[in-house]
Amino acid sequence: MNIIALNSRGRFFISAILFLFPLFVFSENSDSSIAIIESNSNYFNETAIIFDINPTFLKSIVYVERTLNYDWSDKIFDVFFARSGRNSSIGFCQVKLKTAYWIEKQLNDSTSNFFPGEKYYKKLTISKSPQEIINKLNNDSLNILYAGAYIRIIQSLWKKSGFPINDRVDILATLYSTGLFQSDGSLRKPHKNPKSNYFGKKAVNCSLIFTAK
Amino acid sequence: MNIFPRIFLSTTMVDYSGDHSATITGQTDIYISKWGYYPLMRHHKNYHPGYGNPSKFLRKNPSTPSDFATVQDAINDAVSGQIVHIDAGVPMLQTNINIASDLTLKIHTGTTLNLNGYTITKGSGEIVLESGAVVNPRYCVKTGSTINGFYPTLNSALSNASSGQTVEVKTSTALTNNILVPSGVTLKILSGTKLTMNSYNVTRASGASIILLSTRNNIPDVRLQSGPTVLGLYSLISSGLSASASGQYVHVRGPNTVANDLTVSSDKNLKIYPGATIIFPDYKEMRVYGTLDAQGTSSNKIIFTSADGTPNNYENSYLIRFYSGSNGSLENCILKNAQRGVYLDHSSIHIEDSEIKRCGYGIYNYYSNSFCYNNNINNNSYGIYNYYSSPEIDYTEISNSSYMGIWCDSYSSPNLDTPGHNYLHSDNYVLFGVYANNNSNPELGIGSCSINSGRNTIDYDNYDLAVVHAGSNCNIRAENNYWGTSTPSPNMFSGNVDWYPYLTSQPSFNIQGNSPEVSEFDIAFSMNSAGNDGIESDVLLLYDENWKLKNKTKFIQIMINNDQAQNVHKLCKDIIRDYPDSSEAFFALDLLYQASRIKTMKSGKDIKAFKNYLVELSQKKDLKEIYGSAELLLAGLEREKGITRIDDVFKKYRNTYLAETALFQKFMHYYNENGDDKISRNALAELENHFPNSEYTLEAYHNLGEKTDIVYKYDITNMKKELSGKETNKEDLKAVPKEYKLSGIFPNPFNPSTVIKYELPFESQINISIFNIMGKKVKNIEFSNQSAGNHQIVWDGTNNNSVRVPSGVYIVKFKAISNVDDNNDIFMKTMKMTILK
Repeated sequence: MNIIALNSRGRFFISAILFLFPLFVFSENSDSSIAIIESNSNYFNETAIIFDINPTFLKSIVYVERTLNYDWSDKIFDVFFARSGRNSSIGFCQVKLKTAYWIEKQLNDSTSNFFPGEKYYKKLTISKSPQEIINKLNNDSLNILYAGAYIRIIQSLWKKSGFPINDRVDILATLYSTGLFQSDGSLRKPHKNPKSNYFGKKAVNCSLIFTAK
Repeated sequence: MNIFPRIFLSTTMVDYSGDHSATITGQTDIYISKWGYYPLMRHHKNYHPGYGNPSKFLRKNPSTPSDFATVQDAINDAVSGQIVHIDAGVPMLQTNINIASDLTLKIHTGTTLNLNGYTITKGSGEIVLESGAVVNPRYCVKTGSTINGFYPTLNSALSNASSGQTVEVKTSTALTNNILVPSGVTLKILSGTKLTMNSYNVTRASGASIILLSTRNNIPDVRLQSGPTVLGLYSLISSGLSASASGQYVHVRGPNTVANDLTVSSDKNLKIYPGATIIFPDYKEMRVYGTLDAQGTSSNKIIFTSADGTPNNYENSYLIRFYSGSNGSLENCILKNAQRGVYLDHSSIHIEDSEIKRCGYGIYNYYSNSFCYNNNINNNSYGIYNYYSSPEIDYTEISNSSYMGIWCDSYSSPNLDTPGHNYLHSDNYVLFGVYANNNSNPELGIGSCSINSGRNTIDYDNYDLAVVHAGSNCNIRAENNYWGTSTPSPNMFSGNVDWYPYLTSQPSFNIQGNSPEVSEFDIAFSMNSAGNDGIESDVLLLYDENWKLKNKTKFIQIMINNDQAQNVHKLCKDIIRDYPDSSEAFFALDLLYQASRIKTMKSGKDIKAFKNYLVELSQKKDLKEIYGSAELLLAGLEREKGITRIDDVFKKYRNTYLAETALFQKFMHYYNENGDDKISRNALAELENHFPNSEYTLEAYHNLGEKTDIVYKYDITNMKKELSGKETNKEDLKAVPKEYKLSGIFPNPFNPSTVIKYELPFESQINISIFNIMGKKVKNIEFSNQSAGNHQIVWDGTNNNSVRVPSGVYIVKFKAISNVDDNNDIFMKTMKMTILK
């Protein structure tokens, strides 16, 4: 039996050069995604009005989410996972179960740092059980509303911090894909020079598709 | 500082504030000449500058300061009520001293009194030792705070101490004999003091006490304790363990503790402290049937190593062996330089935050379901070796294994999923990254990509045979992992490995914290810290009988992972009953085994029911492999009694892979449970006789640590040939599919190549056509006569002219026509696939 030479390469060095946010290969055909999103265009537009966001941006972000970040062959397990208490992404815009509850709480708590403004107060009610959230997320129009609310919270937070990103679909998409919080629970703080990830860059291209339509 | 002693008398305690060193220095020359060899001894009488009122001092010679040559002189000179002061220098006793009635001996700060083999006892007088004063050596007998005497040895101090008294030790001491603390006496080892045990022990008589205040470790530092109460100090861990009784712990601290053959029996407890180093001489090991708590800290780890520090030391088969019923954990430990770092036999201990390196087998699990969390397992031949074992492995780096990162055989299904985040890689060639054989189903990632499952990095640039290999009747779910390249190649995988979807960038290794998004939900709905308080029982209603088998087993896997093991038994049994020839039946049997184990841990009942079910399967008249496999599993659970069953399986399934499996199982049983080298070698001989050069034979040699044979057997070129030949044989033995099936296209989307899989129930003529989105055929592949079984082809994205086609959507049209007489089955199926740019 031979033993190879020791190597002192440590995991922390490796960690430092890692990308923070892994991406999945896509699995929904892009044409199908565009068609599905356009067929629900009225929901996107209504949501955009309610939360004062750009409907094209919202469509682009959802498009990228559906085409880059999800394997639809496993759709049957989403609710199953959610029912098992895991933080599964559910439905049209792939909103995570626990993020959905957090969104509800922020819209109902004017003292929260993430409260997006009086205009959006109680636009979503607070669910009383995980099952209630699952039911809501399984409704396409409500699901889009949650996605829109999340974009609104992101926009308001950055604007309050002095770094508005209302016209930066790349950054909005990046934050939508990574979430507002790091893996250790700390906030991804707004700053003046945000960088987009692959998800965000794709969203820029996609916004051109939806703008043209 | 004064280098000469100064002894004088006073009638009261003296205030020493003020610097009088100049006075002493000025008198030095005079008294050196007067007292010859003896340094300055002064006897103050009526006057001494700097010592306050002269009238308080006695005077021996009016013309000189009244110092004395020796302590004994001063004592002899003093009269009732006087105090003998020793307030500078290093006086040395010339005789035993007894402080008689009404006298006080006071040893002042800055003074060192050398006992020189003599004693000082207080008689009816008094001894005062100021803080900072030194008596050398210091074995002090006290009653409460009253000093009774100073003795030149620990033995003499203890023999002169009586009940109710304390012997204080402030001199580091090398023991020359066993010490027994007498009844009623307290032995107190003071701060900064250590005992060198040599080969002796310190024990206590009934009613005696041992108190250790020292921050320094004895050599070695082995303490027997009952709670915080120290019962004895030992030179060997084994001696401490022998002396320990139920509920007591042996505590080990400090470096260089030698572990001779060491057994922590089922009623014994051993606790090892941060910074301890446990050294194993050749052929020595630690066997744990009771409790071993080895919990270092991140900055002060506990080290277990073979004595000579040779990597993969053959003279050290094991460092630590945990057996059935053992408890405890290894945390922040380093284990190195042995054949097996940690060996677990029917054990489920936790190994966390530890490093295991330079061993033949980093962790060796034998019928064990251990917990491996945040470890670094590097430079071993095998990182983790699993036989009938399903450990939980998370946040662990397994690197530079020279043979395999993780080896799994015989219902070994380690869970590297949720939270996962393991990192498997190597700078050198490995045979396999993850290897599974014989009904083993490692879980590397399961679920949809919408949850945080998998997230392992399995990045082997240099693999010799496969990054992940699923051998006979193995299903490896390996979804949501990063494979070191944005588009993993199908060549990286062999056998039934579900590696899609995959991550296109490397996940972080940081242990996940809880984001507010998660914690608000968990608090509101009383989830636990993992965000999971179990599945709701009515979720069973989601199960669909019409699902394909793969989804059924996936559902069952998720149920087991979510505390619903008790609800999957029927589902597993249904699959085994309805699809006994399918590899999913073997998977279902493994899942049922997992579920039964979990339930057994909770209720203690279910493994019995599972064994009965295995008996039922093994008694089936049909000689199906699933039944033979069940019988081998039963044999394993029966341990010694199971040997007859193993022989039966070997006879019944002589022409299948089960025969070889049975003989290897027999070898493993004798090797791991019998401990008789001769019997193990006989079992190897039987295995080798029937299956020379097989991989099980190689594994058996490897287990025995046969150097010469292993060098020969592990010739990689030979092994490749053997494995490829063997795989062909295994395929022949595999169950024939019941129906035609275009099984799938993986990966899809893809770039540059993909694998199209299909199943043939009969020998068939095959036509596979690929069309572009405009309906134009770009590629055609035909086989006029393909045998029944599972097949796959690789399409490299080129057309019939070997020119690469543009990216986009393509349609695969699969057509199979049976070649069997009287059977005109024609099967057609289309599937869509996408080539990425």
